Amino acid sequence: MTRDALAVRAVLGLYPRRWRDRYGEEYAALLADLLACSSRRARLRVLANATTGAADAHFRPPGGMPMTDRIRGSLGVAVCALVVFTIAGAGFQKMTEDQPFHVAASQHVVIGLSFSILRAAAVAAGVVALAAAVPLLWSVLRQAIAGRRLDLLARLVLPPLAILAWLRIAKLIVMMSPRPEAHPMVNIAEVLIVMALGAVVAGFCTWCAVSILHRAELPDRLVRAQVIAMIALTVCMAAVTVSDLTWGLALRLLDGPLFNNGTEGLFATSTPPSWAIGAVVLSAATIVAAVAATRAARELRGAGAA
Amino acid sequence: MSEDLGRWSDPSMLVLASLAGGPKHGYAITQDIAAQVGVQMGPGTLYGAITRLEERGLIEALPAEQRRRPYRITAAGAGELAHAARKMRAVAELGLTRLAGAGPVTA
Repeated sequence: MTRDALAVRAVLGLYPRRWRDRYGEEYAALLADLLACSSRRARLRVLANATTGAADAHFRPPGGMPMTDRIRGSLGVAVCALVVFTIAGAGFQKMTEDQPFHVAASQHVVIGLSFSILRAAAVAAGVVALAAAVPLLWSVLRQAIAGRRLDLLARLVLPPLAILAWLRIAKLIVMMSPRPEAHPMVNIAEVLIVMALGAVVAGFCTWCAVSILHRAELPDRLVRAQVIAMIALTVCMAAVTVSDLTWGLALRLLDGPLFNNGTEGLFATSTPPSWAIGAVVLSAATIVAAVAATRAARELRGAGAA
Repeated sequence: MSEDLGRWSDPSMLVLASLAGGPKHGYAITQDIAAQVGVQMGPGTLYGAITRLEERGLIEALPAEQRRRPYRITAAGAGELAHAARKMRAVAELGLTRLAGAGPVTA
């Protein structure tokens, strides 16, 4: 397979399946034609434009779809945002479990308060996500069993098994690990392996969740109810993000040495990059979730008006 | 109706204008727009416009020819294009007339 053909296939894979079913073949022909007659620089422009087109196709699915299908599309986007948000949040939790941060939180009101609000909002986000997911999962499970839908059953059963397997592997790695102070590089390699496996598991679980949303026949009222959950979840995510930003800025102002000179970041790196990267990821995930929730709410309002 | 096309209204108008000259497939549309208007329309932008125009019944797909599917403008699409073109012409004429009356513009 040529490099162009590979690029076309990769870009096409970014588009939603329904979109590909309708436009995939002719779009692949167009991309092949454009790439064949473009300079190297122009090819990059073509591929970049095709990639942004894929994002648009996800955010603006075809209008011919039923309203609940369009809400499902937004819900899938929100699920992806939530997974990324959770990973970034776990990174923040891991970074701040060290003692110096607890001391700073107890010494400075703003740091302590923002930290508390962040944790409360994170718990609230978890509760909202759970409350929204349980009725959906129950409905899908009943449908999968009644209709002997092996595709749905596999997507329901495999994610928990993958998470359990990952936890088991992580535990084994920790048990087999030599003393970290004696072999710091080995320790870092182990953490990287666990994180890479975790990313694969997170990606797989997200794919299963989004795939279920597209494949299962969900009651309309259940899909409509998800819009309220998406809005509530976005509010919680925004609260976490604002608290995270406040926490970092307050730490920088009130406890400069800990913020600037400390090596309390992830992998014992300096604190600012760990916090900044986390804040950027949290902000991006919150914005994506907000866009998805707004789109879903607009769909619901449009259906109500019609 | 053009308001419904949102931020895609400009590419949509370009595609409609191109198809007003006869049915074309994606690559031919990009070449026609580049030659006539000097706009290099990327594939994502083009198919974003095609998707919306087709959904709204302003263009329709014809049978594919060797993986390339031509599109043609519908009567509704021609009406929409004519309406938008008249508005654009009115704005252009107003602007040119006012500018001519005001004399040379200095920064």
